[in-house]
Amino acid sequence: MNIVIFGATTLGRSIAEWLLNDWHEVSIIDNDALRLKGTEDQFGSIIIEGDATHQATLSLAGTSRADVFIAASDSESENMTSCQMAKELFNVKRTMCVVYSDENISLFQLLNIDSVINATAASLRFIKENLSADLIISLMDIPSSTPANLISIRIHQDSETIGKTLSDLNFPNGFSIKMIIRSGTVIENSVDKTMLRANDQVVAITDSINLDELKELFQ
Amino acid sequence: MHSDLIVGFLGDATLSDDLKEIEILDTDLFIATTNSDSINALAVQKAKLLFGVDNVICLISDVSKQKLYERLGVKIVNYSEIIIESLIHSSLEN
Repeated sequence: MNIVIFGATTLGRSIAEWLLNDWHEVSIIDNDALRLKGTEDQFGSIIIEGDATHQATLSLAGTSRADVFIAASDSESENMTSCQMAKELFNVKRTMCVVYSDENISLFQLLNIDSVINATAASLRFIKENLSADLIISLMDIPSSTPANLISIRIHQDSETIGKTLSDLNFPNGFSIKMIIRSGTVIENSVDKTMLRANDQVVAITDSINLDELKELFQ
Repeated sequence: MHSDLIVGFLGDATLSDDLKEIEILDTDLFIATTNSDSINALAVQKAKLLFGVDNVICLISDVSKQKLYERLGVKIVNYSEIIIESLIHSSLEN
């Protein structure tokens, strides 16, 4: 694939590195000479110096041949503008825009940007997962007509569910258990009849509406 | 124009909360005139699409964005063009 990245940020460079290792063709645009120098030292001549919200710069980066355009600069407004230009002026099939809060997600989706990725939310998710402070962690939003969520539930040492099987518990509608992870092994068969133990990790799909009810159930 | 009709507001016009503070829902015309094309474009598209302001005007300096935003129903004022025109006029006058 041919990919144009806007932003020689730590994130932009990491995306470039991953794609180059996979033998994709990559260009990276930034207007900061120092950042570009570091990028060039690391990856060679894939850099384009200029303003990614100008048609001439996008043209120079080969955006008209790009399959994917990824905007990963620090500026949400510039990420938006460059994605809109890539889509409307260069007919790039897939545009991806990095944001750092929920503020602009719905607007950018309305503007036909194909993927809007909240970098802060993604980091927060991993930190939560590693801290294990939360009983329930959302692993992934599942896009469908009724919004669903892939979640992980950690069975706390004092949980009232220990010693019970999942079929003993009264789950809300729209909740379905896929597997239990127990000290590094995955239990996928007859999950319903498996007796829960402390520190089990239950992986399930649910409509996000029920999260509070679930928290109470697994307390 | 009377200066008491102009109300200043310190805020970020790309944030929904700040736009709500200036009663964006009752606004007839929204004009973005910062010196950043992208911030202007973000503010006017938010005003138009999220808050339903029909008339939005966006100042830009880069002509390549003009068609794109006009297609999306945003009225564009290109100040590079205006400055060049006035330079030509004044040089012709002299």
